[in-house]
Amino acid sequence: MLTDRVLAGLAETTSPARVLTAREDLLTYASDATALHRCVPEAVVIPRDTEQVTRIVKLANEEGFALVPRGAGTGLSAGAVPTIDSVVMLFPSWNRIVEIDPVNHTAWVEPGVITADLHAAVEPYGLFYPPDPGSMRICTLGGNVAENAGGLRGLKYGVTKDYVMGLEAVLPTGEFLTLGGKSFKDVAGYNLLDLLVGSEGTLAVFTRILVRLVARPQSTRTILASFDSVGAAGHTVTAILATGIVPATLEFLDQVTIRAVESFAGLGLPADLAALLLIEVDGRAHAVAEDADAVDRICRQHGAREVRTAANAEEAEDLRAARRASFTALAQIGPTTILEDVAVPRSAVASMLVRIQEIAAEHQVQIGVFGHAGDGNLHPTCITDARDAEAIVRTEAALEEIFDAAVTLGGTITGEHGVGLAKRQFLERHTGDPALRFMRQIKAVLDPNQVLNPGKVLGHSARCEHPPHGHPAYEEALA
Amino acid sequence: MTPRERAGPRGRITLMRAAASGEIEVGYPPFTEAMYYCLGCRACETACPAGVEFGRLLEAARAAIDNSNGRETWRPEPAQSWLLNRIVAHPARLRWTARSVRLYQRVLRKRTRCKRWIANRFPDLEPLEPLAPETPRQRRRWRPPAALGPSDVVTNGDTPSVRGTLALHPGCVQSVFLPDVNADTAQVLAYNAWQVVVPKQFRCCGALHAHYGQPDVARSLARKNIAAFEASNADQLISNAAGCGAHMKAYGQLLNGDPAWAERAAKVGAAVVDVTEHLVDRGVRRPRRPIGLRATYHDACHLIHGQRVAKAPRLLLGSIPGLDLAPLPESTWCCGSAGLYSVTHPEAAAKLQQRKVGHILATGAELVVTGNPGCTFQIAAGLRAAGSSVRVVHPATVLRIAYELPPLLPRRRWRPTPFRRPA
Repeated sequence: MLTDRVLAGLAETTSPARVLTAREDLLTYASDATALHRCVPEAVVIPRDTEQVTRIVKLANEEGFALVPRGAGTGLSAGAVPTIDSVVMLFPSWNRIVEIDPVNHTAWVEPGVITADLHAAVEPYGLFYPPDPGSMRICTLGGNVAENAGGLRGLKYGVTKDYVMGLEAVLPTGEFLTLGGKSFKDVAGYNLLDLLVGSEGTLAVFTRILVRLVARPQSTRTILASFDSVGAAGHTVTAILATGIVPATLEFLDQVTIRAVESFAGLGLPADLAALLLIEVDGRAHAVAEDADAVDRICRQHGAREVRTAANAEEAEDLRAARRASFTALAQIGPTTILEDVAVPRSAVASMLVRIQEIAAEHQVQIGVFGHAGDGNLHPTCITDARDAEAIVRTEAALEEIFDAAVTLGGTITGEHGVGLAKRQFLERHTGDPALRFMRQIKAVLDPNQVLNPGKVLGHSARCEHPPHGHPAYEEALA
Repeated sequence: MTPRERAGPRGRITLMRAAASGEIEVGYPPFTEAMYYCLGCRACETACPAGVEFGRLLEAARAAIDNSNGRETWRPEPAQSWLLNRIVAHPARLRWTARSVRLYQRVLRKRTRCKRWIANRFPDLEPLEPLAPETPRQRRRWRPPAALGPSDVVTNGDTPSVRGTLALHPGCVQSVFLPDVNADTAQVLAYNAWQVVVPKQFRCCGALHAHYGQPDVARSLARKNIAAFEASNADQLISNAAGCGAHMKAYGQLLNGDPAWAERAAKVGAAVVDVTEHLVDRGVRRPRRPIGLRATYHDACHLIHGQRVAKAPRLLLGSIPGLDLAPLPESTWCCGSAGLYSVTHPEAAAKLQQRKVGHILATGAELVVTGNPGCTFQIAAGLRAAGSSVRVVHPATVLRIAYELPPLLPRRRWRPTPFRRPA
């Protein structure tokens, strides 16, 4: 329980209207987009400016309560799920695009700017902000930076960290910090910028972000190819990349997903299809035309049953329909959908798909897989029922094996969703001891009182809990 | 105001889950407020990546609130329930109500003392006054005249001259306040070689009852409409009001707990089609008469989000020679009408209304086309208040004019005109 003194302090720092404590408000901030994780916060605070953020963080250090920064709450690793005795911090009014610099191709934005709004705002300048996470219409850049969000264009354009050039942030001790700048090259000192990007709200609260923009590609061509075997699709991907063509998008759908999409959207996809590849090439018009022809040819050479190339923007939308409907279609099958995101090296994508199928059969869990075949980031999607304890046990066992398989194949437990609460118990398997110990030491140095999103990424105890300050387990881990 | 999670669809679902699991009581006043602060525009369904049918969840939540009797609860005004159950559900009573509205509009409100007495006696009605359209004269219920037939189709005798029979659902509010829209719809369909019938037994579709926590009344109305449609032997059920169409399409879901009706309801639900959708899907005559106006199209929420119909009306309007169709910014945003929302939440509704009117005026359009009576009244009232002479019309009306068909129902005096073929 928070003391009245804390609540009074928060109200004094901001204003009474900016501290929410009503039950109906608190309940709605108890979870993010992650299934099975939930914890009701003690209060919600809405700071207005950096000054207020600093004072709130200092208050947290003095009074010993936890702060959980939250963007739009669309995260898929329970990174924004509150912990016990925590205060959720919101940034809804921090939604200004402060500056767009068309010469340096940069933009200063506040953390509450919606990703799709930035896309739209830079378009008139002929510029383009490539990261496009699935929730881009509502997710915010602050959250994107905290989670190092990816998207469909990762293979060619990279992820959020590749587009953050500078940050203004408040550290867990309440200090204000400026990093980076518009200079394209910068190797002065340790790379703190990359430390904070993807820190999942555990190391800093961002108050302003300098993003890098790129010139908008002149033209785009969309191709949809269908295959009778996963192997053929895998070989096609390898062959396309071997020619040196780097598609902006190279998306994969497996049979379970295809059938789900067909029964949901009725696009006329044959039920016996084993895989679909959605390929988009972009760049200068003549190069795009050549690349599209080459992709078409490679698909056919590798046994594609059908290859369709969109002649115009409208047809491209039709071809994207199956990929767009994937998650929706899978979500219709059962009451609870757990969207995971392992990533493996490109060469291991086919083996990973086979392993997932085996694991699904072994644990009798329905798993559809779609994802970014080009960068090896797959989204095994489990259809289950949160109300059925036995089904959840089976699902979790299957997921654990999937994580193990990914790590064995040289991959990672998360490609773009982050660790948060959902995967912290698996982090050690992936990173091994010294790395994890360093991470804990970094956290301890930057956040000695464990006020910023404690228990995320580097957790110790059961879900929805974090070790109280000075907990023996924590001291032990640091020793 | 700061946007809050509980004022959005995700937060509302969280609260519904909390209520379902007993974490908060259904009768908890903030829960009721959160459920009724929603427009029910279903724009969140269009945006939802997981395909959540929010409209159904909202209806279920509101129904649960109304059933939680015995506690001190905030709930919609009793007057609303009375209006919905005792007036709107009965066509004859609704017509009598419209007659009194007409009496008020034409006579009583011009007499100061009379107006003052009414304002004192029924203060609740005051916000409704600017919203109410000019009420046409009410005779008995309107049916398409027998002369209205698809008779001018050239065939060789082997192919039937009638493409099929359609049952037109006249809507409760629409048939009383905008009967000319129904007449225009029937005319346009007939001109495209469809036989149109309006079964006498059709009642209000029940959408408002379902939205406002009265599912039992909604089901009983649905059963009447299903039986009426079946008896009409029509091939399809045509709706020209977005709210009615969206609700009737979901009759199967509404009655899926009733074994005797579930199958019939699903069948009728599948036969429901919006008039614009039907015309475009089945082929439509190209209008000849140019309409040299600038127009814009407002997407009624329950047409675009509820039925996913966006292209059909635009295609129809685009086929009219000379009509300059200007795109309307934020055309898919609610205008604030939203059933009874403009009455229950006048301030929030007025904000949306002004935003909509601002966009319309900025397009420079002389005509706003939209396919729902609620939107028509709300936008027209907003335009009137802004001193604008822009008119709000139904796509069927524009099409009827472009087909050079004389109106069956002149606006002033109700005198059936025999159907004439264009020269």
